[in-house]
Amino acid sequence: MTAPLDRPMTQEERAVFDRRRRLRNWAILAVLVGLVALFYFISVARLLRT
Amino acid sequence: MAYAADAHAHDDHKPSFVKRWLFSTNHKDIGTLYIIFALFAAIIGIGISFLMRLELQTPGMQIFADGQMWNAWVSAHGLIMVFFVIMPALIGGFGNWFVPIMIGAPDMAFPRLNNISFWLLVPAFLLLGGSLFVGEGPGAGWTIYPPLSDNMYHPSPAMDMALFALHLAGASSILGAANFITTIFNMRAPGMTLHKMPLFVWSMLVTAFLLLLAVPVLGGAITMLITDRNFGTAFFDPAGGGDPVLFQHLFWFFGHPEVYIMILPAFGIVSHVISTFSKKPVFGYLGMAYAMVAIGVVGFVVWAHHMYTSGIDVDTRAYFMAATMVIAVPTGIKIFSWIATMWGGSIKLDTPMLFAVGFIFLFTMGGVTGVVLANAGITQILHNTYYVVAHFHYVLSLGAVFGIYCGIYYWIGKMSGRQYPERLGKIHFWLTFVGVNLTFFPMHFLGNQGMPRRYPDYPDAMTGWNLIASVGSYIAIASFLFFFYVMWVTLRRGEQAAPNYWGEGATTLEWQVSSPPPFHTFDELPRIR
Amino acid sequence: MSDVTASHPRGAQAPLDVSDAAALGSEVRDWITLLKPRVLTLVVYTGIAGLLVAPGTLHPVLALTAILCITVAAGAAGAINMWYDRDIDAVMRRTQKRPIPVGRISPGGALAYGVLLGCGSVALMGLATNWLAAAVLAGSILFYVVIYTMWLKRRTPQNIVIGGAAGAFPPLIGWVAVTGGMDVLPLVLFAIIFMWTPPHFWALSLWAHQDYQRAGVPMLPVVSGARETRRQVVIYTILLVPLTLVPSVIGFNSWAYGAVAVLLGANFLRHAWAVWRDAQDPSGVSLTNDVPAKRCFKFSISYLFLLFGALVADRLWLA
Repeated sequence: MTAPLDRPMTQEERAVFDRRRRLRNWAILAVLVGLVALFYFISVARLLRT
Repeated sequence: MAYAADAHAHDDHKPSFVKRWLFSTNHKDIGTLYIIFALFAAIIGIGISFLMRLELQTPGMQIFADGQMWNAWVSAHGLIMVFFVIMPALIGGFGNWFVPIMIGAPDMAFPRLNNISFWLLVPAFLLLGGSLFVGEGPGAGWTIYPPLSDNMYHPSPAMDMALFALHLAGASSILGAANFITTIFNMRAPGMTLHKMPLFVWSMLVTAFLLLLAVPVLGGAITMLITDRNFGTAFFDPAGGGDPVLFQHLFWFFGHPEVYIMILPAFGIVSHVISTFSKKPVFGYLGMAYAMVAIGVVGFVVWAHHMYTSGIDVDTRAYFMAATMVIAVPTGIKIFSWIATMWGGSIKLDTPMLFAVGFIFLFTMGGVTGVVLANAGITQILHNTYYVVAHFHYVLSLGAVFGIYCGIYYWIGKMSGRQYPERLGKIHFWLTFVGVNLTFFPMHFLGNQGMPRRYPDYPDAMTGWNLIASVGSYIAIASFLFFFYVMWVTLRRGEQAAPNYWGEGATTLEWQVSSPPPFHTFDELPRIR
Repeated sequence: MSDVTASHPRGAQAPLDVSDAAALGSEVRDWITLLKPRVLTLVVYTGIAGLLVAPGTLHPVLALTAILCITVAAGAAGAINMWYDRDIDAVMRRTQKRPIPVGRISPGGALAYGVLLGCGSVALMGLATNWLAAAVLAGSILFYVVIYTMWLKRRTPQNIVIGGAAGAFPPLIGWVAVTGGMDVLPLVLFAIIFMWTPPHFWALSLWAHQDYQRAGVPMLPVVSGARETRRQVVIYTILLVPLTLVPSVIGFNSWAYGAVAVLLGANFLRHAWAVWRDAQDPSGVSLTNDVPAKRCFKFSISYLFLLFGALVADRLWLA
């Protein structure tokens, strides 16, 4: 989602880029795992209700 | 899109054998493992189908001891082909191999999670295979409906083993799906916007979302089935206030998206192949991408068309009938876009293109019978007949499997560095094409005559078409063995493949790197324009 | 008013400069910022209120899911709003540090994020509770995005009045999620928040309108002057207070709630009156640094929280 640079990244910039990307990765994974758990419990809960 | 190909020698340091293959975290190696696993499972799954066609070749009981044994092996065939052949090959195999490369990422977002996803499949497969030899086997069909799957009718641990195998395979799929979504959302090279992503990546994105939403529901359903069987609960037992139809709802809420999970990656591959061999960009790129999204969304609201005969009321049936017909629209958009891509292109009918065109033909056939079966009234008669068997084999056995072959021939030079021999590839295509059509086309007639599925025997009047179907299946199985020969020749004596051996039609990023790609690709961020 | 209409910015079409900082990627919290988390507290609170007062029961997991869907949908609307308003966000001091104007998130990325979350929350709402609730939820997103953000915000000083309806949806959705049908009371709750929004927001705008002036967004103090704004605050407060008594009148709540509502309403009226009577120059601009307006704004927030709290408590334990 980011715009490309016109020059190669410096080492520090690359470190920042990698760290941010890693943190975003984990955030997305956390959300997705949460969703999976939610779907699982919703399907059980909907079954119990009816 | 352009990427200055600079393959550094230091990209190619590989770890030792055990470390490389058992503890693999490299997306290409894991992709290779998935493909090998799928081919191995296919030997068993197709082997079972061979036994099935031997049994059905003539009336009477030949191979199988009784109906229960027959049902156990039929169920195993279905579960193996769905969970251990098509999904690992298309999603785990090609997905792992090419999604990171196509978006310019160095690897998947979570390489070690990727490794876990693969190794969960192995015990799952062993459990399912083993269940065939325990007690009466898992003979409830791949749909495992209670009460047939209850401990009253399946008292031995075989059913529990099969259910647990599904849990493991489901966990593997969910982890893989989460990995793909994260990778596609977050690991794209700068400049690779969502609307520039290759269609195969789009197909994997939609597939991963379907997995993420559908598989936990299956997990919930089979957990309850396991507790019903072993811990005295009564979720699906009317005697205890439960309802077996609810299981069907949960199962098909998973099961219908599952069929799109199996076919969408094939859509993606076919789009690339058609475009490459017509030397034209794919017609209506955005329409193609969003047609897949639409299929994915609508795929979640049509599930009860599998349950027309389960005693759901007529209004519900009317709704599901209408919704099911609607889903033919985005599918039709894709078919027409493929045709429009070929239209006016300079078409080269190499093996991948043959499989792609064959895919379109056969998938359209399956789609047409699908529209027939969408009608609740007609399905009162055709439900659980061989007409249904013919329909879903046309979309899966001929659709998804042709997609797998298509992908293998398209990318084998990229993956192995060695190009397949064209003549043998074409022989393989024609053998397969004739074989599968001869197998499954007569099943339409058998279905119309009222032959029910999941029976090992039939009246003498149905012998003719059954014999033809069996002969067709022997041809198809021979072609499968021939495929292994083609692969052996390719890997042993195939020509060294150039980075872009398909020429100007192939424009995605995997054609910018060497064949095979270096062990690490895109450690330096590629620039996409 | 028409001259304002003619010069409103172009919205989503406006180009945007992105500096090198953009190439390093976004932080996780940038994506949370896109959801406007501070606005969401009110949404969550009133949504829960709607769930709790509705007759019938919802499985806790499903109730939690419904709240989650309401929250995420409101956040998604916020993200799409930030995508559309990125041109005026870049001009206004309060918003120019947002992720899109700064360049850490691309406009397309924010739009995709908002659309994905919006569609996902609507679908999940439908599957977990019922499709009427999902439809109302979708309506609330569309109302905020299309009617408020795209249509009214840049065209008319009444933007707040009608746009306020977007914020009034949560209790309604909460109610429908439980009952699967519509009733009088959720509409009353809707109307209460609808009437509460103008005095709440215009009190704020009295001292914070310079930003909007710079961005060319027609705010009441900018277009009609501070004096008129003060008048409107009082009028809407007067309309609001009787409305808050309706739950007791129709017998949904006991008069214990009614008493609390009268008490809170009297206080709100007192604050609105102070805004009207604030020492001001002939054009209505405050000479006291807008102290009454700031007090009124702060009180309006506690007012809504206390009112809904009383309504729920009364319904659950007294009525």
